Amino acid sequence: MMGRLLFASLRHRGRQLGLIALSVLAAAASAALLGAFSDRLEGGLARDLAAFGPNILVRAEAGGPPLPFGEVATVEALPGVLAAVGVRERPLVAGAGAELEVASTVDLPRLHPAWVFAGRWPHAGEVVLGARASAPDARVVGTLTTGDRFDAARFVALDGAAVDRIEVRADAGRLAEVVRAIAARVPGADAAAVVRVRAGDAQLARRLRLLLLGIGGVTLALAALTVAAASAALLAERRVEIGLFLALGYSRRRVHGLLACELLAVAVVAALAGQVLGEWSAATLARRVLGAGTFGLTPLGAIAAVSAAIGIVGVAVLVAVQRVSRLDPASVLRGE
Amino acid sequence: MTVPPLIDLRDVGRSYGALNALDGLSLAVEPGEWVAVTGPSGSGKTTLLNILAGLDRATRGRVVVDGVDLTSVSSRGLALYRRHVVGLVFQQFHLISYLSALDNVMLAQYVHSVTDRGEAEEALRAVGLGARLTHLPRELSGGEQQRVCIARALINRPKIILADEPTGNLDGVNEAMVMSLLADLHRQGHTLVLVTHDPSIAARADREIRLEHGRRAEAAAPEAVEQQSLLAELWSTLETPAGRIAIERRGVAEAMAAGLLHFVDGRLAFTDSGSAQARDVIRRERLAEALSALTLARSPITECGREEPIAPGVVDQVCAFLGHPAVCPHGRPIPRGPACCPVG
Repeated sequence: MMGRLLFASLRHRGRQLGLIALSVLAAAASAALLGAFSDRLEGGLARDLAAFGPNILVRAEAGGPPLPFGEVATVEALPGVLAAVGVRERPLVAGAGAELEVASTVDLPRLHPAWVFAGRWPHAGEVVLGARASAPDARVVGTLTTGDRFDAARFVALDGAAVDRIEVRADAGRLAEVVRAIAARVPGADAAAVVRVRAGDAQLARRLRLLLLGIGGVTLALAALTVAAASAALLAERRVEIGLFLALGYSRRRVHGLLACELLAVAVVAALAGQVLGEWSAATLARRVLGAGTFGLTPLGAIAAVSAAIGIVGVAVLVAVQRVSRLDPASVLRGE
Repeated sequence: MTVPPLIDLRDVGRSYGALNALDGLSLAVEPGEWVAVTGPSGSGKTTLLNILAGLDRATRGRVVVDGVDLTSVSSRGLALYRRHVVGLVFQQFHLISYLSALDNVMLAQYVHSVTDRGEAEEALRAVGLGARLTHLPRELSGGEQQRVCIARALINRPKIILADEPTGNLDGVNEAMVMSLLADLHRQGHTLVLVTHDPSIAARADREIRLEHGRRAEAAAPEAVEQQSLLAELWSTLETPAGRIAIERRGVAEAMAAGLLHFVDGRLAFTDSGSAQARDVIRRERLAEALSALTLARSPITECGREEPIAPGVVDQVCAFLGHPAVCPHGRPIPRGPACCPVG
């Protein structure tokens, strides 16, 4: 009987319960989006921020010999390392001027995508010119604008000699681990995380989370208000029905239970749909913002969606309990 | 040893602020009794019914129903009382609009104990709705909805049926059907408390309690009802070929004094006035039998003349609804009324 009553009531009040379901869905979707996107943010952001420079610098120990060319490959092969470039700098005119010759193992802009690079990276005997560098005798195959001292540099291919430093972009969550691995695997190397970049990553992630939290919070508040209003309207419409239940001998607690079951049934369906929608939105957002993201249900998304649904329905149940507790069946059934 | 009354009210008051809806009302109702509560609007009829239904509480006095002191019982106790002791019939029916007639009845079973589909179907058949089990309230007429309401009130076999203006929203035909059902319940031994403002409905009860300003007023004298019953009996007696009215029969002398009977050729017969009155009562009684047999799909009462007469105000309407029947279900002639078509 309970099932029939529930089903008939849900079918009868499709429109009002639909509004509640939509609100719960919106809240659950926002929460799931927040949860799932946060889940992806750490790794995704780290990959994305790889575009903003190296986060580990490896130099030869003070007073020690330069780093051998082969160590670049050693570092690049370490777990957690996303890219590694060996760099050697020399003044173009010994002891004078600001012009540099910068040699790197592979194209340096890979780690510095803020630089504006046109052309291709040079082979032996070729050169890429910085924006303020003087014209060389060698063949120019590209130009590079960095906005810093490297604008006065000529970039050439590293010839296999020792390097001054190795610039490394590593997984932001594994910086310490990578630094320890370099120290262990590359003798005479002094590896250090670039603190500024690491702090920038964290700050950006924090800001993104705050933004999402704000959007999620506003959505949850709006959903709660909508559900409270819809529940109040629904209960006003059902006053006679509730009065009848009480007149037939239902206790107020049992009536609360009936209404809660109804709202819960709506919430479960809406929460599930909300989670799927939220996860899909998170994957889409991750693809757009972080450049990578595949659809899949995440535990954090599920927990967030269910918590949001319970919170929102809790509001509706509270409204119901309050209204039913105040309802006088005698006057309602008299039509007052 | 005396049996305590089923309903026992002592000096009951119910105030809403400065307003006394009930003011020192005392009342006892015996098991199986049919009591009609009448009175003008605002006299406290519905307040009394709500207190008896456990939907409201007296602010003073003592209300004991079926051994339960309703003035001191807890809210949970009141819910249990409503579940087990009383069945409610409302003027506005109050059926759940999205549930079928059957589910509306089963809803009351559900709160009481367990649902029993067969029993609920039987209850609806008993009120002539066997063919309407799956209909929604909007697909039923007012009378049919009220009959569902009665079936719902009866399904848990309550000791007391409380009806608040049960025919207030019904047309004449449906009013007659519902009253016939209530009369049946009374005959089966149910205790009925019925609130009404209609004197003809109140007249069918065993006793009328008239309220004014929350207090009991003098009820209408029952002599008129008794006289109606006597006239119908005498009419039936004279219908038989050898039927004669004995002067020593109770009430006959009074009827003669009232100018309803007189001697013709040494035998007692109706005067014109008596004949008109008896004819009217017989017509209403037999139309009630025909209506019950036709619309409530039940066997007519074995003995002719035991059905409660239809209220005078709706008799022509019922007669037209039944197609102006010539005989009652027992084959006895139904006197024709002024609105009936000429015979033949």
